[in-house]
Amino acid sequence: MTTEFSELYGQFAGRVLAYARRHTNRDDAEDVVAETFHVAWRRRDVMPEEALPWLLGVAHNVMRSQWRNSRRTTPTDTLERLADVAGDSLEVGVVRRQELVELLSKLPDHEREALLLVAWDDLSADQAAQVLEISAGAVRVRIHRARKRLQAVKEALDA
Amino acid sequence: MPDMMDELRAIAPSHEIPAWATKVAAGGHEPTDDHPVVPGVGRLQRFDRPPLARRRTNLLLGLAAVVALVALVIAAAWWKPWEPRVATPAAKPTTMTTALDQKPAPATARRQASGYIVQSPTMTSAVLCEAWRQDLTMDQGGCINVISPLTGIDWSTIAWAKTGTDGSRAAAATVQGTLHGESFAVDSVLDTMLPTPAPTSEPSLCSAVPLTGTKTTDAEQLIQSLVGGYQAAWWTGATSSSAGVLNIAVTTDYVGSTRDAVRNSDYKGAYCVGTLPGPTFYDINRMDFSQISYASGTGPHSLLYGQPSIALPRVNLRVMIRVPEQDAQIAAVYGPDWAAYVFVDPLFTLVP
Repeated sequence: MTTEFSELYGQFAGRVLAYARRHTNRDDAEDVVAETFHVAWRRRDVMPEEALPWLLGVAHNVMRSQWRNSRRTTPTDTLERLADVAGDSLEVGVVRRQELVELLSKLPDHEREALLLVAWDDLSADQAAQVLEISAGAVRVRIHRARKRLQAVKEALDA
Repeated sequence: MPDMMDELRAIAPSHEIPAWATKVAAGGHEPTDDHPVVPGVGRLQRFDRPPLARRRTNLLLGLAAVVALVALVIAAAWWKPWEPRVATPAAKPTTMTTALDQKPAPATARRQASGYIVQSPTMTSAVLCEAWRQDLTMDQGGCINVISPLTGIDWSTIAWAKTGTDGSRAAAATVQGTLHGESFAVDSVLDTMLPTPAPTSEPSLCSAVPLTGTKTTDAEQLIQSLVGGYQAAWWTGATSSSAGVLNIAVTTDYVGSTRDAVRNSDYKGAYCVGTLPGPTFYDINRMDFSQISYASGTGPHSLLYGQPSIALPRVNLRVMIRVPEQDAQIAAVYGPDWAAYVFVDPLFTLVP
């Protein structure tokens, strides 16, 4: 079991860290990873075989608990965090990357959360629904609305 | 134009652990320092227990439970609830002595009372009344002065009881039984009143014996001329110059002597008061006419007023005669606080 859990950690620690980093600063993100895998160890008996959505769901709850305990109603600046975590792409380019990050920062939190679980974490709508503890239909609706909102904002900016 | 989702996927963050994430990077293997921030897998097994706060709470709860249990055991050992408690008197009881004539009241002492047994359809039980007004139905309050509610009355066993639409009543009855609080539990009903009246003859007048100066025949003649035969008055020694003495003889119902309620009693024996001196003419003449309840009539009265052409007044006197001989009967019915009197209202025409 120890070996299996070590492999699990090596496989998904970076994914959980990237997810946490989208929502909080670096130090807190590392603590979120630690607490997430701590929970995973204690509840390893109930951890599903498809571990990533479950781990991200635990991380989501850990962060929500931290925000509640610290009485912080909003995390740190969204645009800054997204710009810090977004990857570089030759196809997109630096300017377009910044533009996309700004568009993402203007989305409502729940729509951005659903959209990035699919776009950045490579989760399906069902898996994203497991993370957010909502229905898959609700995830699809949020993604659809987020894409329409992004398009509208982009057109507005272009105009 | 590329799809925006593809562009977003293109700028997805790297899933590799970045260089700045030293804590996360150290979590995958056994840490080399003594205080790893992220526990290694091997150490996670040692932390496979509740967090410190919860362990502390559990410890406190357990400690409190132990303390409560110990306190309960100590309290039980002190009070010994399994042993019966015996009250210890504060002082030695004193000896009580009983008077020689002291007797406990019998709890079921039989008593008796007399009156009218009455029960209307609206009553829950029969009652014993002092008297009965025949001009009123029981529902209208024919019962006068309830002596006591009665229980155990069986009307079928009271032969002289009368039953009408307004209820049933038994006149002049004596009930025997026991008192239970405010009710009287009857076990027998007698067709009599207490005390048993002395047998009397038909109402008769007293022998009118003049006190002085008047012949018996004169007295009897006067008695017969007066109202109802129950009152008699005559005077002796009345002359034109002397008022003389007014004599009064009374024969009347005992029951009519004190209260209206008794007037209808079945005791019809006439009671002879006898003769007694009444007010003199002189007393009458000195009376204030406003205090005389009735004064009218015709007749010469020159003797009294010196005005013979004016009709003589008729004087209605109210005379109250104490009758101690009847006290026993009255007390039996009404109690010891009552006394017997005879009231007479003789009507006099003042004649010379």
